[in-house]
Amino acid sequence: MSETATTSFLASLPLLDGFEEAELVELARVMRPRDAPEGRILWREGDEAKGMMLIVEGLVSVSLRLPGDRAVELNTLGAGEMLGEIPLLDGGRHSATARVVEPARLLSLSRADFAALVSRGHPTAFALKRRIAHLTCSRLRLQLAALSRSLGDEEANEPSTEPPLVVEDLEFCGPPDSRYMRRLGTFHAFDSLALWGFLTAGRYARCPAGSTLVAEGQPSNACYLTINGAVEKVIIRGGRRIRVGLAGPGQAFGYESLIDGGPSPVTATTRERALLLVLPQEPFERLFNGDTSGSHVFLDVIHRDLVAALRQAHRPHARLAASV
Amino acid sequence: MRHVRPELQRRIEGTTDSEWIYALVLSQLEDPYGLPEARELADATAAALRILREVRGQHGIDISSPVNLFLTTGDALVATRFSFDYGWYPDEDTLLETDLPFVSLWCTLGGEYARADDAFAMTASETPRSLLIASEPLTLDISTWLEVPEYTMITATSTSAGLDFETLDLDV
Repeated sequence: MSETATTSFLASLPLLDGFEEAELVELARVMRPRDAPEGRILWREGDEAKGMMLIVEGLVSVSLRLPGDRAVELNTLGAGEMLGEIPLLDGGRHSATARVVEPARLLSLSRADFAALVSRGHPTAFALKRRIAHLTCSRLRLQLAALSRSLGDEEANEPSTEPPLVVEDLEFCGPPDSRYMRRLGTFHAFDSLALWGFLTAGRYARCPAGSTLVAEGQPSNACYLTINGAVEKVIIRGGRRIRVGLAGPGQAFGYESLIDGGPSPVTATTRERALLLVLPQEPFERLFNGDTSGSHVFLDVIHRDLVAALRQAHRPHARLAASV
Repeated sequence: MRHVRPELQRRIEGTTDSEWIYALVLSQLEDPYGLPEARELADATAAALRILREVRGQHGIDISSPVNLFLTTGDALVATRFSFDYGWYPDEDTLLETDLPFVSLWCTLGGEYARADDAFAMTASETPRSLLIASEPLTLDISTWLEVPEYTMITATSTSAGLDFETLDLDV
C-alpha cells in the first residue's frame, strides 16, 4: 500500500474527518501496512502493546478471557475501524485478544512512532489523541450500556438517581497545598508550568459524603477532578447498582457529556467527603481543545481516566459488585 | 477496648493492629471459638469495621487508613478491600504516597491452581472449586485475575458441590 493510497484511506475515515491534508500525510508516513490471514492472532489479552491498528479490509474479533479459561466476544470490527488504541495511550498491556476472522489488510501505528509525534509536540498527535478520546468515550458508553442492561428488563431500565448538585450550589474553597498536588501520581510527569495552567483553570469545592454531582441520563455541566476523597461512579436500576469506577485523588469524572454532548452514562456520588477541582464547560473545552502545555496535561489526565474506565467496564467483576 | 471480649484481650501478645482487629472481629461472633459460616463471618467483619469507624471519629482520625482483611475457617472465608477516609492524606507527611497501589486485592477462581505448559494457572471448570486471593496477580498470565474494587468484601464457602462465591459492596 503506497503512502498516497494510505493517505487517501485515512482521508476516508470518519475518525479523521476534518484532518488537514498535511496531518493525514504525516500520519500516513508513520503507518505500516500489514496483511493477516484468517485465524491470525494479532495479540493476546495481557500481551505488551506495541501499537494500534486500523482495518483497511477484513474483520477482526475482539474477545476477553474470563476466569476458568472461558472467553466472551466483545466486538467484531471491520473496515475503517480502529483497535488497540487503548494501550497506545496508556502504555499498558492489551486489554483483549484480537483475532482475524476474515482475511485482513491493516495499517499499524507503533507506540514508538506515536510517542515520537507527541514528544515533538506535533499537532497531528494531539488532534489524533482528541479523536481517540471521542472514540474511547463512545466505546465506554457502549460498554456501560451493556452493563446497565444486565441489571434489569427494559421496563425497569430507567436510571433512578437523585438530581445532581448544580455547580453554583457547591461549597467553594481555596486551592490545596501545591506540594500535595505534586505528590499525586497523576501529575508526576508534568512540568510546573503545565500543571499550574491546568490546576488554575477551575475552582475548588468541598463536598460531604453522599453528594450526587452527576446523574446518569442527564448532561453533566462540569468535569471534576478529585483532589481528596473518593467519588463513586455507579449505574443504578431500581434497587440494584453496579459500581463501574472510583475516582480517587488525581482521577476525573463527569467529562463524557463535555466531550461528546451526550448525557452522562453514570451517576457520580461522593463516597467519602471530597475536595474537588471543578471545571465547567468553558474551561473544559479550552483545555481539551487547546494547544498549550496545560492542555496537553489535561488531555493526558482525561485519556488516562477514559482508558481506566473502559478497562474496568470490560471486566465482568463490576457486575458482581451488587449492593448488599 | 470495650468492644473486645476480655478473654480475647488477655490472649493478645503483640502490638500490631492486625492482632487487635482480629480480636475485634472474633468478639462480634456469637461463638468466637466456633466455626462460623461465611455470612456470619462477613457480618462480624462489617460490624468490626463499623466500630473502628466510630472509634476513629471519636478520636478525630480522618486520614486514609487501608484495612484489607483476610479471615478463614478452612471452609469459609472473608476478604476485604477497604480504606477508611479513602483519598485523604496528611499534608505534613510528604513521603507518603497518595495512590497506595500496593493495597490492591485480586482474585481468580476456577477448577484448580495447577501447572499448565510452563507456568501455573487456574484451570477451567464449569463449577468453580478453587479461589485464589492475593494482593497482586501471582501468575505470568494475568488475564483470568479480577481486581477486587475498593469498598468490597468477598465471601466464599467450600461445599461438596463446589464453591459459593459472592462479592458484596462494603457499606460501613
